[in-house]
Amino acid sequence: MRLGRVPRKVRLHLPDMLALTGDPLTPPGTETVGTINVALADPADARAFAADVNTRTPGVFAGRAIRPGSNGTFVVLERFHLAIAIVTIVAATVFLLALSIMLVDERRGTVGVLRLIGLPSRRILLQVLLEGLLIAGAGAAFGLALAFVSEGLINRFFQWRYDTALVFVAVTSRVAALCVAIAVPLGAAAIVTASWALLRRGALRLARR
Amino acid sequence: MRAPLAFAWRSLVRQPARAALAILGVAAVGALLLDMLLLSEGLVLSMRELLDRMGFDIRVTAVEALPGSGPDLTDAPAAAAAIAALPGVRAVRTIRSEGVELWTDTVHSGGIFLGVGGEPAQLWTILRGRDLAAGPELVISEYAADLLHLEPGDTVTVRASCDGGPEAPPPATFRVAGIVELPFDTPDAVTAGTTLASLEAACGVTGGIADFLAVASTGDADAAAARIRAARPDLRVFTNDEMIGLVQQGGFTYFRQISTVLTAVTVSFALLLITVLLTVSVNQRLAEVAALRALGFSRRRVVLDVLCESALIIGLGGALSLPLGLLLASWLDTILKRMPAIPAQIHFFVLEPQALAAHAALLAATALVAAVYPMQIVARLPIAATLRNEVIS
Repeated sequence: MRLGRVPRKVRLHLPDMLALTGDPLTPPGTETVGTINVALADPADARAFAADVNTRTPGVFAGRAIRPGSNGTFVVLERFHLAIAIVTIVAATVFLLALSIMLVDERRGTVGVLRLIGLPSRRILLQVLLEGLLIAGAGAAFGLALAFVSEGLINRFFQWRYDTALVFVAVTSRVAALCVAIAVPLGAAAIVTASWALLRRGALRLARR
Repeated sequence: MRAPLAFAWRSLVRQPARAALAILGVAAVGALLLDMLLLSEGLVLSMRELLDRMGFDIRVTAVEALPGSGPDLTDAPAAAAAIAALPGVRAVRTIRSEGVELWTDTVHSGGIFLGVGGEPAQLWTILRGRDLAAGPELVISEYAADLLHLEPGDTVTVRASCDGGPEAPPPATFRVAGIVELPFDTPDAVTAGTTLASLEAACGVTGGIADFLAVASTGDADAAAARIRAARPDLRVFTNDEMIGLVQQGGFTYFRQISTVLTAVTVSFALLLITVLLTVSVNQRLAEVAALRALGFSRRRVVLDVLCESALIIGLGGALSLPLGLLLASWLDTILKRMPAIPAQIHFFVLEPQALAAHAALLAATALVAAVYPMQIVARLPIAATLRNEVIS
């Protein structure tokens, strides 16, 4: 049987497990364990407690456990992926801004005419914001759909590669919400920023008259 | 070629904001791409460099496992003597590691006790103090020295817990000869090193057991390894290259695969965005292109202009991505090196010419492919109709 091949888990009370797996020739109370986990009333005392145990009980080594949020393998990998995500967001933002500038520039004539017929800059900006929200929302939805599809592909590949049932990529509702929360305001902000630079110019100049 | 390049440059300079943003975007994507290329082989290259630096090119173990991770060699002195007598073998070291408790008057800690047999036994780099001399002496890692407040010349009490020895051997007193850097030590490892004889004395056992033998050949590692295999077919013999192969079969492949996935995503991302940027840019300049064609610019020339614009954006962004990528690699390396049990001298990102060549080739291919669709638009542009539409609009 390979570890993780079948995703099933059974939890037992320790006495029940010892009854199932223990050697009947071993006298009760002399079984060995690999590790004893200790929860302290004050976690800040961990170092002093470990030093005390080490001094009192030769042959036993006590040490501070890795705390959640510390430097465990998965925590480090999470930080690594977060760092890559940040770089990707920066790159995407820069591209988005470039694209927004081009798209807004393309409509400078239309915006100039709207200004000339009396629409205030704020009204046009609101329209641009709504348009940006719609586009960013549609883009985020497409991105999520792509993520759901690639989630299955990536998991299948790594499960095949490592012969395991472990899940490598999980698009949870929290992750999806975070992506939407970043993507939609970012997309809308890029379009509004690009438009704001354009709207500061005079209406006649925009309409090229 | 210079004229289209100069023309493309003028097109970029005419729209400085959008050009600068496009170049910055390529720089960010290029930096990530470079890092993924460095990551794909970084760990293996770093491991190889570390193995080579130790001065041994062959490891001998009891089974086909990485040294220290399998069962012990049970007749290490005899095996070491037999191997040392073979032609092509310059030196043999016997390496044994056991658990240890170290304490001073005020501090106590568990750690690893390393015993090295053979002369000279320099597996470590001396940072302060000196190497081992006669008598019960040990060298300790920098972290252990800090934790136990030890300096060269101090004494420390040691209780080793060894395979095949008594469960609780009596404590022994050792003098700290030096503070050292061990090649595969983790940053928070409490490691002490001594001679094999001193370790066995602390364990209360006589010689015989070792984790592995480290062998230095006279130059041809493969030939020396073949001779060792012939002399001791019961043992497993690995050259440094074979050790790297074993490492690659292990869990380190995760980083290669994640880098492959991210390289593909990054290149696709760059391709898509440059294509969109160029397409929008070309669509905004259709009238201008048509006018140039009407003035006598050939179809090939205007197509070449678009290609040059793509090459300039990606070329400038790519050049900028090199320093950015190296900075980013340094940051990501710091993050990944916090993983438990990663030796301090191992790096996940290692700069090598092959990665730079792959980076340049991928960016060049991206520039070419991204320009295909906008080039098609320009090549098929109807001159008269476009100019007429421009006048009417």
